[in-house]
Amino acid sequence: MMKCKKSIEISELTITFSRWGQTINAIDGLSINIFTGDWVMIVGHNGSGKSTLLKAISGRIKLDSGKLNLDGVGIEKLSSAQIAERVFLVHQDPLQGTSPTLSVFDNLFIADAAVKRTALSRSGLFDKYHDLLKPLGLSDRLKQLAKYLSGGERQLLALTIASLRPSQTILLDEPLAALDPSKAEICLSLIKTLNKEGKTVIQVTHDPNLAITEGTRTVALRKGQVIYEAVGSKRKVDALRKLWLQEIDV
Amino acid sequence: MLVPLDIGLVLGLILAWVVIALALAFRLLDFPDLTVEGSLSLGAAVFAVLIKNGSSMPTAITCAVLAGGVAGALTGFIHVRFRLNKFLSGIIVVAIAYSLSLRIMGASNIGLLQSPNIFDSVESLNNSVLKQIHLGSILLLAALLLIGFILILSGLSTRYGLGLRVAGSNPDYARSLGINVPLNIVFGLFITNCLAAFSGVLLSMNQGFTDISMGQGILILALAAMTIGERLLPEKAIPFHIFVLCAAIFGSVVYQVLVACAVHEGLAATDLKLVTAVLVLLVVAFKISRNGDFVEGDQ
Repeated sequence: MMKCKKSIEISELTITFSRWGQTINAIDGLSINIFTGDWVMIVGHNGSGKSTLLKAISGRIKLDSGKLNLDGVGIEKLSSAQIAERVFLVHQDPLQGTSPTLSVFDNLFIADAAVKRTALSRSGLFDKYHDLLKPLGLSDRLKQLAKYLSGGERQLLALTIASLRPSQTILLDEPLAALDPSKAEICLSLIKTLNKEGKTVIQVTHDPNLAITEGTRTVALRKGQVIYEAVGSKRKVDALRKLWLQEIDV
Repeated sequence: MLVPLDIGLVLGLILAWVVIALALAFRLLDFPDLTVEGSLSLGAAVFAVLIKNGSSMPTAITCAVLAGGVAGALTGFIHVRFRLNKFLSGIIVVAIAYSLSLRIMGASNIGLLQSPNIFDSVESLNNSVLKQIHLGSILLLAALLLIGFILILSGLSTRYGLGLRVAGSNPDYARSLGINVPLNIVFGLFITNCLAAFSGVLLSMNQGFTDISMGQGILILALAAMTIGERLLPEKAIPFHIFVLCAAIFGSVVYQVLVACAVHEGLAATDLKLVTAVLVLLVVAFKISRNGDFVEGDQ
């Protein structure tokens, strides 16, 4: 029932980059609808437009043409603060997802939308964040500066921050790329929890297996266009691999 | 030995404000702000003219501090609005502040010996204990600095202060949180340059005059003091913003005491900058030899 509501509507979206007289269509007439509670896995080779799409949804780049609506409102009508209330982007690089000179506690505190609504004291918040970080093995690092955490730990922190944001949609740009297998597993289970809690997740990945086995929907991009789209059990890893190899041959 | 200690402590506590201004901008806003050189003299100029024309001390100080703040905000505005390099934005405003200070003062120097001065209130204490030590002035400056320290620390610990620090340390992440990065940079530079202007006011009162050239060389001095403080204090022991503040104050005092000692021992004024450079290098070398390696993130 939840999936009836469109969280993100993209129609005929085009984004071009011009460098030294050469124009590249990073996104070329792309149309896609993402529903509330979806977990969309986006795959594609380098330069297929995956990250550009996430940047467009998070309001970081301007659209050349087409429509991009967040919760039914055109992104061009939304301020950066309003976009931040709707979507939250977690970068591939763990160093980009936190403030290095703030403690882990302060990183969570500044991102926690509930702080304004609830009257929790500092010690109450400390307990709350302690419990939140306990399954991730970071509960004893609350007072430490984020810059002293490892890359994997910072990515876990970034995902925890995502869970505290008011935004309904979480954009994940290859969140597991820089992580070792154990940290990647913890991150994946954190993403699953976020999705179960009702957050819409759009995750970019290079791994075709992951794109099929995880999430609720898989979308493959090539040259800024959708070339494959399947939902649930209809997703086939062989079909995706075939497309993958075709592109390499090209 | 007491004389250089006295001079170093008084000057160190006065100039700690401008070192704090530079350190906050540099370390927390990631903005190497050259404006402090201009806002210090602009603050001193506004204060001198107002106090000379009969304004009350609080009015003169407030206007001076705000004038410095406006200079900082202008640097921030130029940078965020016209996307001009941070250094160039600062240089432009320093040039503006210099001409403006000259125009405000109407001369290159204004004497303030007959004007009201906050150090008058501690004159009796200055003369009563040790004649070589201006104890009253040192205590007054330390008290002012303590109040400033507490206020700045409280501000940086609020949700808005945290937003300011996020905007400086990771602007892209700050945008993800809905923080208005340009506004925070402009506001942050306004505050830091208020502090630099206050340093100019204190310096004028201490010297008994305001000179158009009093800001010259302040940037190098503040950078040297900041580096010394950051190298000598243990960074990991305290939260980063407290470390930045403590290092600025500590570095300012240590630097001024060392320079005063060197001058007292007969160092020629012409060699002062050479000694400053050697001093900073010695501290940096000492820290590296103690750690055995370069410290990550040093600039």
